[in-house]
Amino acid sequence: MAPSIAVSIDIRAKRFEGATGLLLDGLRLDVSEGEVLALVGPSGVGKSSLLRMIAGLDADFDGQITVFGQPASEAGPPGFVFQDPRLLPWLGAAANIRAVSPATTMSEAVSLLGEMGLSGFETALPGSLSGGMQRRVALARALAVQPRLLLLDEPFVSIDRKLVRELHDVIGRIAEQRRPTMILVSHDLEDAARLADRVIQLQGRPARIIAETRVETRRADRNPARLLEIVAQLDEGSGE
Amino acid sequence: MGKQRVDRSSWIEAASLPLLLLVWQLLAMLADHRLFPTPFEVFREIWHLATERYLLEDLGKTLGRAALAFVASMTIGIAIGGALGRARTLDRLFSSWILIGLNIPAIVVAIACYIWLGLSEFALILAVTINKTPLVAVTMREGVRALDTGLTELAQAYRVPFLRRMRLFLVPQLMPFVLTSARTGLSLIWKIVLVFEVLGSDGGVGFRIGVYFQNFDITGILAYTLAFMAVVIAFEYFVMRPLERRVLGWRQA
Repeated sequence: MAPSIAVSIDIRAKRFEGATGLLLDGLRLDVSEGEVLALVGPSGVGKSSLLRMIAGLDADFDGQITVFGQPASEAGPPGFVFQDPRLLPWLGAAANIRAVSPATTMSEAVSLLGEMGLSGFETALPGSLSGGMQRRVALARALAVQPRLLLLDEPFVSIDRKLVRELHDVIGRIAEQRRPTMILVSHDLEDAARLADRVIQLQGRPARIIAETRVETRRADRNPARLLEIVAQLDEGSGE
Repeated sequence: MGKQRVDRSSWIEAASLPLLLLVWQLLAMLADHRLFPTPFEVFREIWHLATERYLLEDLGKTLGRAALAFVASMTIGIAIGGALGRARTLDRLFSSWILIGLNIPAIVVAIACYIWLGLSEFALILAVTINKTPLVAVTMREGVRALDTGLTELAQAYRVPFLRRMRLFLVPQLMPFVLTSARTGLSLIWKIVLVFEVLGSDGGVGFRIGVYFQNFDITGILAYTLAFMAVVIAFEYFVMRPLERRVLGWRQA
């Protein structure tokens, strides 16, 4: 049986905020339930805008986005990891999780933090955590709402490679164990090669899909050599 | 090392007031004049006024007026500042009102209120409130403008209910501005309540200082001033600072 559609995107036109011209024009895309889709493209192409529309944060466009059959703004909350961690600086790590998810008990929040390798930091204020730890709290927070849809907006930007690899592992584990539908936005093909089941590359203004590549290799088997091959394949697909 | 530095700085802070009293004592001894009493004479007068005259009653009156004006100006100022911070049109429309409110001499407002409403308790509190409200409104307007749109978006994305959004996302961001308004407001209110009481009231610290002024009784003036200052300083140490530590403690992380 074919997997059901989790997110259906049909955007006829999305204008730039406060500027003339179209950001997106005639973009159609379906994301299957449990799939990890990577949207890759240069800065300013509209990837993050698209993610905000999917999250129901921006309804100012011509077209329709449905999430599990409901209009995006009416669907339940997705797990959303923003480019910056966006933690409430006056709350501890566990309290930050519970701030967006009141149904999450304290022990569940503690357990989520443990899953992210943050045991013992439950009451730590964001200001006392490193950038990498803050991002992991943001990930734990996204998981607390038990999302069927997880949106990741450039979660690896401006952090060192070692931390990127750690976060790749954490997100890869989430994809395998919890199996939410995931949409990852990145400008880096390597992030997509490491995590995605399918990679869509956007380019131009208005943005259009220039390549769509299915990554067949299981995530666990994507060793450094295989990753290089996948990145090369994605490069080739985009005509770079 | 760090602890030693903290110990030393707290000792220095603790020595500040005794040093002031010592300087005062020395100057009074040098001047040796009935219009420049020593701290000891002033403290003795405080005791006399508190036990046998109206000091406590006057303090109560003034503090009551200050408290009422403070609550009124904070409430109105927060509401106005919030609206101005949210709506650019309102801000543009009322910006000159605020400018006038900030710059109109306090004494003019007091006189106008007394002429229009009579020498009443209400007129006095209203005059203080009118003087203080624009300052609160301006501070709160800046607070609302400085709200982190990223956190607002976060709350929207996770469909955080309105009341929870207010409590966990909005109020903590505005608290530094509320406390700044409260602190500047209090320092302003303490002063203008006294001036307005001198101008027209039936009691209170300012009223009594006005009476002592007519009699050239500097010891009485200083006794009332010192008693009032003691209350203000106690409020700062026992209310404002603990509150600030509690509400803004996260900023040290």
